[in-house]
Amino acid sequence: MAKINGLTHCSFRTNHFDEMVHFYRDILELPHLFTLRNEDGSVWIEYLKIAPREFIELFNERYTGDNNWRNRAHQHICLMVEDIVEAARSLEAKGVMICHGPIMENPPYRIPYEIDHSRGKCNSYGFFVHDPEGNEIEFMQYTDESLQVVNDHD
Amino acid sequence: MAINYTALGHVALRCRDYQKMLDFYVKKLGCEELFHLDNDDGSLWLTYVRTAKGQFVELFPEDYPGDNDALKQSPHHFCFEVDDFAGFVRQLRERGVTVYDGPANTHPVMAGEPEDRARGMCGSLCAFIQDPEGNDIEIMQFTDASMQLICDR
Repeated sequence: MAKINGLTHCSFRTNHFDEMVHFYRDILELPHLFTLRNEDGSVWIEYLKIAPREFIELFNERYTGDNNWRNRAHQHICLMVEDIVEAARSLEAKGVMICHGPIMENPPYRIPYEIDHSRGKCNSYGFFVHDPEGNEIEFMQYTDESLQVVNDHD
Repeated sequence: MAINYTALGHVALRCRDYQKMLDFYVKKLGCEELFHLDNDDGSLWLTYVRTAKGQFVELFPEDYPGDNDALKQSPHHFCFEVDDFAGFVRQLRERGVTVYDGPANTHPVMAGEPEDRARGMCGSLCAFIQDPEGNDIEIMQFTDASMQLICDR
């Protein structure tokens, strides 16, 4: 039986292409790997690296709706990090608002995370940010008790 | 301070028809239903579907008011890497999943045998399917010409 090896990328359309590239490359610090171009030489897709074989694709292609997070099936994507506090501090230093959960449902973080250290129901640490199009991005760090870890296998 | 990323952890999807979505990811794509999280009242909050070690799709049994038309929203698609593109596409077809040349709203159904598929602009083999909610999913196999590998050396 042919099988899936893993999730290799998530892609976004953009109404604010330059802002999106800036956000993912400079604010989230994902290295830019390569550009795919249309036949007329214009940019089609920018490839940014999360981890080996794992990427974000930013399409220089517009969408027509308001991208309201509540109206559609796609809820969020999640990026795993080594150190959730360091990631939060780094993003806050660049002026990014950090939230407990999806931004439209939860207030921004107000308690220092070192004291807070509240885990989600899955026993992992996490917070949310949103990109310039309003897409929700979760940042997550597993713990030894994370259900994603204790339930998993090789 | 640097942000050290370890993985693309998951994609989270709301489901208008939760059972159909779970069946699709488990029975058509071959993913594994791994564990559930419940709401305080005991009802299902979300299900973790394992696509590979440490990588998941979260399925929320939660309706949404829109039509989920891909062209109206920023999320474009997500992509699963496979070892055996031809075998995986053949298996999808056998299981009744329609395979497209590109995102289904803008591309025709893929014609011909998957063994004859030409590489995409990035040097990888790829095709698209849609899940029951209409989310576009790409299926990709890297080759020795894949820019995803060459540019990451």
